Amino acid sequence: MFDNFDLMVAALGAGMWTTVWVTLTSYTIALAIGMVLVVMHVSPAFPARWAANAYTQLFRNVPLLAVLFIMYFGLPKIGIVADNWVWALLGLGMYTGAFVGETLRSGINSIPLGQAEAARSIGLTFGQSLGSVIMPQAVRAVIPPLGSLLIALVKNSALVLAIGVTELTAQSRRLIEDNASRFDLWGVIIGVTVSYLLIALVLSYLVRLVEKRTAFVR
Amino acid sequence: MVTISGVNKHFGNLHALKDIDLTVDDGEVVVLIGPSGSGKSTLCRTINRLETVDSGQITVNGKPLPAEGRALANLRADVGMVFQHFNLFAHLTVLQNITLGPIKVRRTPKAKADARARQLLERVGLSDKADVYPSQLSGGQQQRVAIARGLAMDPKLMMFDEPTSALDPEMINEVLDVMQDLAREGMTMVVVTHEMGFARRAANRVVFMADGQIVETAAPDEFFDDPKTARAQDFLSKVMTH
Repeated sequence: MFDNFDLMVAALGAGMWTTVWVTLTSYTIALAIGMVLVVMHVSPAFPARWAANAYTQLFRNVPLLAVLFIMYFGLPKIGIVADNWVWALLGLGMYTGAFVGETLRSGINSIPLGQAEAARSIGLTFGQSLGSVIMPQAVRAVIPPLGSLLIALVKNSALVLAIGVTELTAQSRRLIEDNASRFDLWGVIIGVTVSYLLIALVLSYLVRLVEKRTAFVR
Repeated sequence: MVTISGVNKHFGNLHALKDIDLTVDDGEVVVLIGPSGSGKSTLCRTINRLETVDSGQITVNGKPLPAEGRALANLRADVGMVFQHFNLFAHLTVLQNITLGPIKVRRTPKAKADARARQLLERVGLSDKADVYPSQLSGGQQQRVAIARGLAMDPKLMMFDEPTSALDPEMINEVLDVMQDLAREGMTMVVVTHEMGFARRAANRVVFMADGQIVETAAPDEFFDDPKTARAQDFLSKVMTH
């Protein structure tokens, strides 16, 4: 079943590496975007709230594959040229960012109003009370769903094969379609499944670790 | 210290504050009492603009309340507030709760803020609780930390919005004792409470509110022994019988 095992491991290993760095980099982008979105969402300025809402609706409601195609095929037509991996990271990051923003917003909503009132009553500005009182609690409250978004992103990252980034799924397709038929179909399927499981389980474990480390006594 | 003149406030159809006029002098302890829904908490919260008003004017220390932004934050820093439900910052230790304002707002160096916080904790009888989280404390202890948090800003005025209403009966006195010490030391205080004993002992003036209006204002002995208005007589007869 595992014909040419060493070759398969090398190919899947390379794909795993690409999947992992694409996931982690685009997740970092998503966290940054989500943070900006949630601050805009709770800001007293109406245009900021409107813009955050427009962004969220747009990126939450367009299929990820369409986002990637629009970037990869569409943007060069209007003179915005970049490598495919740039579009992969941006597409995944901007798409996931909308979900991160909504998750953080639900975290903020879970914090009792009294916390914000107390923060204001000691003279903290809007930004200070958000940064020192509200967000630290809101983020902790949503670490599990943020972890789910990370796992979803691992799997969503497979879509970037459509714009030519050779990540894990692309590698497995290469192996299956190998002209010399050096690899058994089921061997590759099991190999790629185990690879994704490995990535997801390790990331889940890390998320749990973060959750434990940042917990405070309630 | 505080002047409130012609203040009106609506919540939808409810006229919560009706033409309120009230002055609080330096060093004075004013206790607001009255039935639930009479507007006393709302009035208290308008003084640091946690509640906006529809009309009328409020000045603190001679200056009208700023509308928003940094000026309002600066004013709030000078007005301590203690809430019914304590509202301690759940993710911070007791010490961090007390030093957050001094460090972020007053720019006090951390070491100095810590030392001051420990002093205040000693004063409220909780010097051994500096490093625990609020949820590990009893209600009475949390409220005393909240008072220390307010005092850490060296406020010109302390406001207490039903500070003992969420406490078990046996914990009420430990909080009232701290408040009474403060009053004795000359802190200017506005206290919303149902603790008639505290009002009688600590207040310079009792303000009785009902239905969004100030019905009667008097020295505590005068108010409790000889209320002038029928509404106040009725209220006192219901709360003082047992």
